[in-house]
Amino acid sequence: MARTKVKASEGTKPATAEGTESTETETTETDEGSAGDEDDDEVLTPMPVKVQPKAPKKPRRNLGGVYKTKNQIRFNGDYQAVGTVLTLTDEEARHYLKFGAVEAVEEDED
Amino acid sequence: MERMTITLAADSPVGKAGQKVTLELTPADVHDPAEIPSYLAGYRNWTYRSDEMSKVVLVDNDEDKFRSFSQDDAFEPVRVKGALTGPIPEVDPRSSLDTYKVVDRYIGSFVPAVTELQRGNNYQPRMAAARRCRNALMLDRELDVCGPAGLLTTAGNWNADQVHTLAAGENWNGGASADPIAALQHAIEASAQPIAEIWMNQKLAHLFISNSSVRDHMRQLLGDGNANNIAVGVANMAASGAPIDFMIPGLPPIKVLAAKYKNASGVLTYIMPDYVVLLTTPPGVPSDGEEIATSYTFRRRGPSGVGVEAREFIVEGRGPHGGTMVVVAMADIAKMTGSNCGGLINGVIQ
Repeated sequence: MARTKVKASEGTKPATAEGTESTETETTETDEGSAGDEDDDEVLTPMPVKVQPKAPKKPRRNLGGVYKTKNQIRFNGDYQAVGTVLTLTDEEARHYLKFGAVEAVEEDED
Repeated sequence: MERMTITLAADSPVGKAGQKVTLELTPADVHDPAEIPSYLAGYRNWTYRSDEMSKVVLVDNDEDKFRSFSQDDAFEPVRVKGALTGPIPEVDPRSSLDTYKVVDRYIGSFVPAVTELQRGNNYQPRMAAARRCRNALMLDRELDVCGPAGLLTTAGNWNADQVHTLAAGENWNGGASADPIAALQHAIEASAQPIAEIWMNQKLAHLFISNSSVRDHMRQLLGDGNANNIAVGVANMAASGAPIDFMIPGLPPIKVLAAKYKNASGVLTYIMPDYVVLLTTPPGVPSDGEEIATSYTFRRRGPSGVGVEAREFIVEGRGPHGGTMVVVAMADIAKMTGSNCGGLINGVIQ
């Protein structure tokens, strides 16, 4: 027997906590090839799912580059004076930027 | 529980014939709940210590100037050697003036006359109001000096050379290469004047004395007993109600600030953020041009002469019976007077 699939129209209201369901449905597609389904009259009402549009995942910005120290930072086992120009890896730059200890001196090419 | 009752068969001293008499009395029959007159609980913050960090200079006027000699007068070499008959090289003392302007803080609490008449046995409304006002004022002052955006805990208020950021992994909370004593020693070396005090909040103090290198240093020089006493003292600050200072050989006194406040998110947290602050704090008010502190607070003497006013006055026109307004007030401003004296270490918690 043919199985009827329905999907909610745009005005479908979500089921409430008390179990009331929307009846505003419309037939959209008939699948003639299905067989062996005993429950011919079954109307499948999909659960209204609130789709949250996913924000596109931003690629992690590589902060590695050349920086100048704004205060004394402990780096490579020694203190670097204010104004020292250093080349920092992404991880190092992220650490010192968190504490406002360095500032970039040239644009990050990445 | 069901109460037993009897019906009097004849008139008697306890009632007339036919009257029902309940045989059992419950506590509710004999006592109406009321407030315990001898019990009054409440919270107390840990000792506020901003007046130690930024020592108070009492002043008469709201706004004035204060003079400081240049650091170059002390540190800059000049050419003093010359020929016996040559011209005399000259130097002049250099100084500059800076301005302070006090900020008024005041808060009051109104106690209606009728409320005071109906007070409890040990709840003195005016005294409670004055205490509440004083706490509000002192907490605000503490936040101004050493709070999250306080004078001494904002990196931008310091000379850049006095701010030290630890490397990744050198954090005191589990950093694999943490070396708190070396970090403190470096900050001491970078200061333009001697460090008199090292300040940290209770959390950092716990991490400091728990660090294996600090612990070994303490035990080696103080012995197990004294090292233990320091650790217990820091942990028990709340119980003692007194501020905790402790000494590690080779370092200035370490002072612990444990006072807390409720932040904008409603979370109870330490007033002092996770920085270590090193301060130059010579005793008294500088008057000979040869000593300076990291910070001074200029506080108006006011009518009381001590800088803090607590007074009350009758307000007749408020409510049907009037009442008493309790007011606590002070006016001061904390200024950074030596931004290259002392230091600030961040990156302690990562």
